[in-house]
Amino acid sequence: MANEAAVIVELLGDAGNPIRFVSATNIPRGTLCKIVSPRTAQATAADNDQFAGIAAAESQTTDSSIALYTCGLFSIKSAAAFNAGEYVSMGGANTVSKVAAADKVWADVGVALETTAGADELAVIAVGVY
Amino acid sequence: MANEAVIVELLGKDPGRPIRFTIASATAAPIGSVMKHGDPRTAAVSTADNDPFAGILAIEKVANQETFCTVYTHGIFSMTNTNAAAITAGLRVQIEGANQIGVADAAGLLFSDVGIALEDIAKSTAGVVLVGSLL
Repeated sequence: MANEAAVIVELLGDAGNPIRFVSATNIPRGTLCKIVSPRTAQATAADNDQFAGIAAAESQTTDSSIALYTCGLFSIKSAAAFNAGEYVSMGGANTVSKVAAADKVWADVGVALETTAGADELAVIAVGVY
Repeated sequence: MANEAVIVELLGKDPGRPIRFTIASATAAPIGSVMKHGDPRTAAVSTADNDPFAGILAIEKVANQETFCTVYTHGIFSMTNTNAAAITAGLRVQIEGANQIGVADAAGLLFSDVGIALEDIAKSTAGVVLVGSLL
């Protein structure tokens, strides 16, 4: 998968506040995951996917569960420009973009701590903090 | 500067969930200052409506000394409402001015807001706010 591996900058809370989800697919470590019912994590693929967390370890198809980090600072690639302090949500597979008003009814990713000028730039995102 | 936030209770496994930010060397700010985000990964004292909330300053920042600061991002704090409107318990609040909060509006919800009011807060008075994600 392109743009994988959100890089850990700092885990916060209880070592990233990991939460276990059901998983039946191959998910590389660092992948931004989305929620599907019931309590299942899948790799993100599209704009506005509902964010669940960041894969703490690789999940194989033979595994049945995966732990996702939900609190920390992570370096994630941008899908479009945003400013420091703005909320960001899923912008596509393993990327984030600035939240629009309609996006606030879904689980967003977090708050940008750095500004990006466009797509394909790395920025530190505070996940599960604000 | 007046109206600094006062700690009621720090929450989380690492009390207050402190985060370190860069800060301008010339900045002077007392403990409890309400801080806003800047690029890159920089904090500054709040000044205006819709400033994106970074946290509550944990340690006094002395002018022309260190270039980093620590802010609390999870806890219960007593914070001051502006003179615009009363805040109802349960509403999300945002920065409305220097060290002041107000009810979060639609535009404010696109930026990092402060948290949730835990009690009704009258205009120009202090009240208790839950800061940090409810995750």
